[in-house]
Amino acid sequence: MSATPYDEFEIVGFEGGIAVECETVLPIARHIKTDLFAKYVAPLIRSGTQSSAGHHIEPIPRLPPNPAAMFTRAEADKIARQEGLTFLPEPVAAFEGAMVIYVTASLLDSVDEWLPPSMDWQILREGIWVACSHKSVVDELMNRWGEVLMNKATDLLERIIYTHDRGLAANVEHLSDLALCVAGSETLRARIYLRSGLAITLSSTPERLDNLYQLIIRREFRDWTWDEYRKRLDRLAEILRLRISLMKEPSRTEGARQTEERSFQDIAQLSSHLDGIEDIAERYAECEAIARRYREQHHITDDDINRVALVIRNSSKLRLDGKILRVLKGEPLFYYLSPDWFRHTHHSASAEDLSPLIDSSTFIQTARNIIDMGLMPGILAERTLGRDSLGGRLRA
Amino acid sequence: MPILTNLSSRIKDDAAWYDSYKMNLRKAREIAYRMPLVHVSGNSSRVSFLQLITSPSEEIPTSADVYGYCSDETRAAETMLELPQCVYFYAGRSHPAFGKIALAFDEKCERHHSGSATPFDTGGLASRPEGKIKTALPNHKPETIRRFTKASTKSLQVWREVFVHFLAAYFSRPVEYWEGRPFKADPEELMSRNDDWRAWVFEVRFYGGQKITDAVAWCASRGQREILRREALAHPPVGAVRSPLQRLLEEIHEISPPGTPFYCDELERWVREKVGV
Repeated sequence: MSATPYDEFEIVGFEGGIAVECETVLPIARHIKTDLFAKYVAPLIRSGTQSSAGHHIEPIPRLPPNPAAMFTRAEADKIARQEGLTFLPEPVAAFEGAMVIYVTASLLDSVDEWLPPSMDWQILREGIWVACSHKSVVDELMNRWGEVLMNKATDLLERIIYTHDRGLAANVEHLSDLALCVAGSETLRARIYLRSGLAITLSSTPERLDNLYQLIIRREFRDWTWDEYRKRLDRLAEILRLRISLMKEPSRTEGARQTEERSFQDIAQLSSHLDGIEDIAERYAECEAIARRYREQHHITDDDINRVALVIRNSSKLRLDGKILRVLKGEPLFYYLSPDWFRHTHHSASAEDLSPLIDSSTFIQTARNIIDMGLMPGILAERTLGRDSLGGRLRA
Repeated sequence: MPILTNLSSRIKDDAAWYDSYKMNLRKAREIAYRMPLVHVSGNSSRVSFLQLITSPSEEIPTSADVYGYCSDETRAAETMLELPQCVYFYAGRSHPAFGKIALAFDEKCERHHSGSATPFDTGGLASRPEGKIKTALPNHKPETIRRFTKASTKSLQVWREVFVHFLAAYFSRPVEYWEGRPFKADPEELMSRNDDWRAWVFEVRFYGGQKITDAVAWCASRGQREILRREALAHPPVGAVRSPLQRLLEEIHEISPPGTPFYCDELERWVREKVGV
């Protein structure tokens, strides 16, 4: 293997000190031969580019192509004393795209997780760990933690709505703060801001919602008007109320069939609310959250899954069109199925993989079957609410 | 002979240099008169940015000891160079060593200040025992450094015009001020003996505090931005009165709103867009 410029360097620290519960920071590298230090810099030529979708792309950190802005060990020590850089306990071999992540015990406690073993963590000091990994890995981890924290905030919000215990609003705000601290994904941040806003409206100082919108949200989401934000909050509150009704135990006089019917009705009603969410990624995420909750609360029999699988397998005349996509994008009924049948597709640029929740072939096949069954976009929810259910049709 | 001394006659003696200078002059003028001043704040070992913006003065303070904002080294350099206690800026450049939030101020903020500028970082030149910025000066005695710095110093009122000629003369294209390095050596060899851009950046100094909310743009690390966000949300709005922090968040352009580890790069990107480079 040929030597790369990175072989000459090791990562010995990161820029700045510990500011919050968790943060991604730029590494500081040491040139092994000369004992000179440098920060990982992003070449300006790659800085500030825009993706075709108009999103800002952050530059990938890399070592400087020349020894510009390098400093001596004595200078590095001095900068470290001034908390301008923090040394790692042990150096790490340098590589392209490296970033440093630090995390505190308070964040780990809040996410109820331990440090992922796939990364080499070092103890910086008591209650603070640090690791060096590729930017994409670090971003993924932080977004995952952000989602865990957001889900906890959502659960607490449900409790507030259910119990009217407004004292819990501060806990939701704290969880939202932590979630915003780690989440980088725009969609995820939008969803967290909704939880944060709802928590503020349920707190003893709801007028702070004005601060949240004026000072923060307008900055990050320039197309969100005040009215739209309020509508989003109302919609989230309504969804949470419906979720609570979904979780309720069946009455003693209610048979299994009635319970199932009621569940379908609930989930269909939720689906109709989701139609109001214009941002497709946000809608996916809300669908997934409903489905996850539904799976947690309801036992799905193997027979149910097999029946749906049979319909999917026996289908023919497959054809993808906008209607099919629309049915699936906003229809949480599909997420009623076991996660075994609906695999995550991760991110894909292909049009077929617009759904982030199921693989493309299942996605298309299921959609076409639903269309073949006479269930049209937007009608499925209404029919289910009125007199029918997907479960009934599958049995027929 | 400091960097800017007899510059025009030196250029005229070199035909190729003169051609390059003439070619760059118009663009350099456009850039120089629109160039924002950049100040990076929030060094965690000293007064935090949050403390600054929530203090009654709402200012970036001078290096005076009483504010606890700048280091002893900064004050030692000022004493050595016989500079007053200052607020420091770089013309269009941003260095993360000074903190986690970068603020940009436009040319209007200079109007109510007295101050000065030099085509290098004075702290780097005056640092002891050896200067961080290497030179061909005969020695590093305080007197030598002081004399050279004084000869290189321009008043706040004229620095932009001087910067026009500096940019046009010392860089093959003005963009090299950010992306590269000077292509011509200066008599004291600051530009050829150093690799750190602080050896050829224009340092601009105000002799009084600068109001933070006069900034026209800012960019912060994720952590710093999170600290500001939490503080702003902790307090309900009081009628129409906005605190300086609220004004910063609400009224001043924030580059990369969720915060970014590349806050200095991002601010420089914004500066370059603003000046058309």
